[in-house]
Amino acid sequence: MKEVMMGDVAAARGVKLARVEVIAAYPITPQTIIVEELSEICGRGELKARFIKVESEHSALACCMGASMAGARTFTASASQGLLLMHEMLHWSAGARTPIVMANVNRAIAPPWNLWSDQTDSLSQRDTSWIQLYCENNQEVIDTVIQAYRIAESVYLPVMVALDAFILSHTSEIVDVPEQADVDRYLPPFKAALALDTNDPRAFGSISGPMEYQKLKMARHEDMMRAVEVARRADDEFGEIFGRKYGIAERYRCEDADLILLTSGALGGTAKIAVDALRESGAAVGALRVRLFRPFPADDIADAIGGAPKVAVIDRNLSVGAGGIFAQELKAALYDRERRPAVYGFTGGYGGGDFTPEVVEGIARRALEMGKPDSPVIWEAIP
Amino acid sequence: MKEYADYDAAAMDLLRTTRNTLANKTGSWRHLRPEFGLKAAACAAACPAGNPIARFMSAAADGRFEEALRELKKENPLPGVCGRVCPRPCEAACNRAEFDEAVGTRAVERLLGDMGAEFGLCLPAPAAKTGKRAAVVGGGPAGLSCAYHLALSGHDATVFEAGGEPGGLLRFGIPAYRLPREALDRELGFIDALGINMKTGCRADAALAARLLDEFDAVVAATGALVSPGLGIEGEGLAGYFKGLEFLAAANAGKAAGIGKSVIVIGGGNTAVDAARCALRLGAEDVAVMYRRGREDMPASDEEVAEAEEEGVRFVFHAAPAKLVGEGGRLRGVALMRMKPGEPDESGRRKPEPVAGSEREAHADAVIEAAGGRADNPFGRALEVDEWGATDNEKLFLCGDAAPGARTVASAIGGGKRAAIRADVFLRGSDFGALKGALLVGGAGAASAAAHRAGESAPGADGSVVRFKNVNTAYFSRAARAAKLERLSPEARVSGFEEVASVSGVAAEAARAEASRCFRCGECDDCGNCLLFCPDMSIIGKTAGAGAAPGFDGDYCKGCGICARECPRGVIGMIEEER
Amino acid sequence: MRRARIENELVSKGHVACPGCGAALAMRYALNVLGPKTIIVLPACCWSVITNRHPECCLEVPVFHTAFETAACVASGVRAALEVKGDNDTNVLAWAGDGGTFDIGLQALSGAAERNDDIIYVCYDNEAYMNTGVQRSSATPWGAWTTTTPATHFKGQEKKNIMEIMAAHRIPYAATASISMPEDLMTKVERARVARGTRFLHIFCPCPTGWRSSPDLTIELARAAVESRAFPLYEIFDGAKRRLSLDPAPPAPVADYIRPQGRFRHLDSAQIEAIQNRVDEEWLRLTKLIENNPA
Repeated sequence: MKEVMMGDVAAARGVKLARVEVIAAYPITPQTIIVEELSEICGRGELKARFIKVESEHSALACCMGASMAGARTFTASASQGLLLMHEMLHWSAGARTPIVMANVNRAIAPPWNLWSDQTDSLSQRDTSWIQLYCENNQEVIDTVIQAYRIAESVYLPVMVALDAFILSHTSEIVDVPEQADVDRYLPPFKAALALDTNDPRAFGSISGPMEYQKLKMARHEDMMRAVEVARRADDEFGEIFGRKYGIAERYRCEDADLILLTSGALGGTAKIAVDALRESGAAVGALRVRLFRPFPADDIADAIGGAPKVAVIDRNLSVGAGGIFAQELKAALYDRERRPAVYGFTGGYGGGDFTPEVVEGIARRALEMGKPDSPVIWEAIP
Repeated sequence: MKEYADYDAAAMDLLRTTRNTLANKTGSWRHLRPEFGLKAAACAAACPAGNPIARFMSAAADGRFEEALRELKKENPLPGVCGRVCPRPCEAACNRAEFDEAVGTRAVERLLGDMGAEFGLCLPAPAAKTGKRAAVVGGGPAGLSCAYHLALSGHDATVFEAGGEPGGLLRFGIPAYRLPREALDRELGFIDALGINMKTGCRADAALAARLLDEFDAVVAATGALVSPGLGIEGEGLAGYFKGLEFLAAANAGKAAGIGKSVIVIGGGNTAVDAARCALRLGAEDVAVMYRRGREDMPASDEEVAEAEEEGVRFVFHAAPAKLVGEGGRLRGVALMRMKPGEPDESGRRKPEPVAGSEREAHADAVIEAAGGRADNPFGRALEVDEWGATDNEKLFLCGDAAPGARTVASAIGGGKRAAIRADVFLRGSDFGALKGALLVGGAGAASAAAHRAGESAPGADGSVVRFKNVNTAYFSRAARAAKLERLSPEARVSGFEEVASVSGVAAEAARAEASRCFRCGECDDCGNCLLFCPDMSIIGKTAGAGAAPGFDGDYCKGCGICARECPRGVIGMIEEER
Repeated sequence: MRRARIENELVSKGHVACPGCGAALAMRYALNVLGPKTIIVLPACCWSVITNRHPECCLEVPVFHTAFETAACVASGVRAALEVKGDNDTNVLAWAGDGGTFDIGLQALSGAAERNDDIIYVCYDNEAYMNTGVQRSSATPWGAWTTTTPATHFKGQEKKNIMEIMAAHRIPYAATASISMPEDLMTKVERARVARGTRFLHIFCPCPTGWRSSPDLTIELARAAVESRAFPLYEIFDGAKRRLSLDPAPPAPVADYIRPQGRFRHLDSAQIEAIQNRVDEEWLRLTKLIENNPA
């Protein structure tokens, strides 16, 4: 059934459809609508979950971890400072292999105070062993939340679903809400592989030596790498039931392109409009939207780029001193490959900067004209 | 829809533990280890009879009086006697004295002894018959104790007693007002119960001694020290002059004739005090005890002296007779000399010396000499004897006042027991050298016959005696003495030979209350402190019941010492770990 | 006198607590009452080491090792999951040291207590960060030496009153307990067990390693703290009504408690007198509170 809803609401509705059992969250703009909507949903009894209104994001994630260890399907949501406060627990929950799903509304990090989009909050958590999925629109938000549980509970790693502040979180779009019965077919109930059980008393996470520590870390890495295929399968199977799928790296008119525009999140939609305009004008430009950031689907991305000589990455995030984070990841992914296109690392559009289709078009034209990239960071002018 | 498991389950399982810590033997950390042997209480180490005080107190505190009496009888056949006449070295040594007030151990012993009227003799089961025959010469406390323990060890014991009845000094030396005859006779029931042959009217002489050594497998001489040396002064032939033990024997037999109005007793021991008090009871009006040293040197017990003073006995110190003065063969008085303390003698006491020119005469109708007897042993006067009563003759043993040592009833009982143990070892042909180190309570006190019979070590035989510092007083609350003695009025006392002192109140209540005050030093009563307070769950082997001490699990005990510290009664000690 | 016996021995031998560890005893007593149907949430603290290293664990109940400040909220999460699954019998026990309670975990504890989440929270208090090598915490008493408050400038602040903080949350049950009085301690664990909502137990656990005291004195020191009124035993019901568990009258001098401990060795008699005065004041304050709001 189609409804008009904001991205935050879509996330909350996804949680409801996934029959989440324990929710723990702390409010932060622009995530608040998620927790408010979930409070309403739980309050109305539409979701029989325990919603613990914790006193901090740190506790929110810790709480989810405890609940997950005791066998419950769990959810939390945050943004920006809240996500950063969770940092320690991001590592811990992933290390404990708790398949938590979190919605993170990408928001700028203070100071100064700024509530608008910036992916640096979630991207700076890339080493925490969380799987990350970036959404283009509200339909994808609701669908990705549901898919996220399939992925998390297959590889026993937590999944973060990222959506841009306000651009998605507070923007109303038409969303085709999946039917509960279909979701139930898609998503079996959670059965914890490692659960606290008084009939089988064991300690989890005891002090370990280098052998156990490294083996666990290796296993986490291998399982994370497997998540590429798991995410693809989850998306494919979603497509079979719901008739929609996204891929883990979505290509748009990439064939025979001289330049690929590599984006993520809501910017992916903007890039498509820009590509249409560029192609109209005769420029062979394609768009590639990275949906699965961690694990980084390097093969899919290399395959999508194909023989294109140039890739312009538009990063709405910045690793200060290094550059846009997608650009770095891309370069690292391409280094050992035969076909290594020139990578132009554009960054900007955060903190409320509006990347319109025209801006994106301009970026493409700049990249087409540029010679060999001479800087890891190419600033896109502040609008 | 399908479920997937796309993770490395085997590796992920490394997150969870698979077993408990029993394989981790933390005992290797230890440099001290708890040591749980039964320790001797300070009181028991001081008891010449080797009474298992903490043990019987444990039972008595729970109201298990019959069991308490049974425990007592394992070491001492005469608790009702000791409970009356003992000068209480146990109470002087009692650890509780440093906390509030010493436990009234003698009173509890007396009450338990008297409960024999209700529970019977409560004797230990004798060992299997050995077929060996032992003669005991002398039916006083040492001889009887010796015969008792010989019989319990399975030997056929025969007692040769000079008097008409067994008891010796207990019967003729201690007046009935201190030791009623029914209390004595009840406990002497063991003679028949254990099948001890009692030959009365057998005065020991050299002929008998030779015959016994010939006929018996072992002979124990417990002939006492009854020979009075006399005063060695002029006038001992006068009428009105009595030897203390003879006077007491006559008085106790009800055969003492008129003693006169004024009586002087010469001496400072219990015999002197007993003689004085008997004289009062026989109608004397002015009785004085005369002692050549000061009160602090007097061997008589303070208690006896105090009672005597209450009854009107006067004590004259630093005075000694120079001669007895008479008229017409009849005593008139004593010529006295004042004495002053001189240089210390071998006993550490200052030797009295006469003060020149201090002689004066004191009037007396009678003079009783009570300066102490000496042994006249028909087996030989100058026998070499060791602390176990063994002599150069391997089948002859000596005990009681016939042997050197303290002259109390309790010491006699303890000495008789030592000789019995020593004789038993001889009769069985065992190696005494291997045994003797394990037999003394506290390593230096009385021997434990119970331990000997059971083939175990006496409490604290290794020298470990529980002192006040080993007691954890946090587990005790202060309580005034519950078993108190009450005495007849002095007037009522001197009108006859009725027993002076009794324990006030109902016996069972008094015994229980007083026993409850006992710390029961060195005696595990299964309180459970060590079990409960061990951070390493390493106290083991203790389920229930008093006596047996727990053990520790050397695999895990880290040697923290909490068990020893929290043991209320000092059962547990910490010793250096041998590595 | 016969002491309580441990029926549920759920701590196995071979754990690696220091000799004479008070915290090891506290766990024994608590689990004896709570039994095998208990899930323990264990933040960073001595006990995260005491269990021993992988693959061994001395606790015969499930244990989740978690981050220092998260005992209460992880426990809340475990409870929520059990509730969803319809399991209302299993005890969820957050077991934290004083650092994880008084300091870094206070926020999460306050959150759980305010929500009255159905957990038992035990703070075993050894009065410093012992696991990391004796650094001061807000539970360290005035005058104590620690490695971060050396004897030359010993801790100059009073111990935080965690019980009143918990009382201010109006939780159904809060109590102090001492390992020197296991029966009282276990009675309180039982009261906590049968109550619902957030239950808080503050268990005083001497630490020979950090207190520089002889290991055999662990119980004696715990007892001396109670008997000198330095650590009063009491209960608070619904954050309001209070009950004294034991009135050590007359109290032992605080010096009896202070003197055997190396961490107070540098104090002179005037300083010990100051501690005595403070203890007396606190006792007065506590007994007035109890008088005004008796349980």
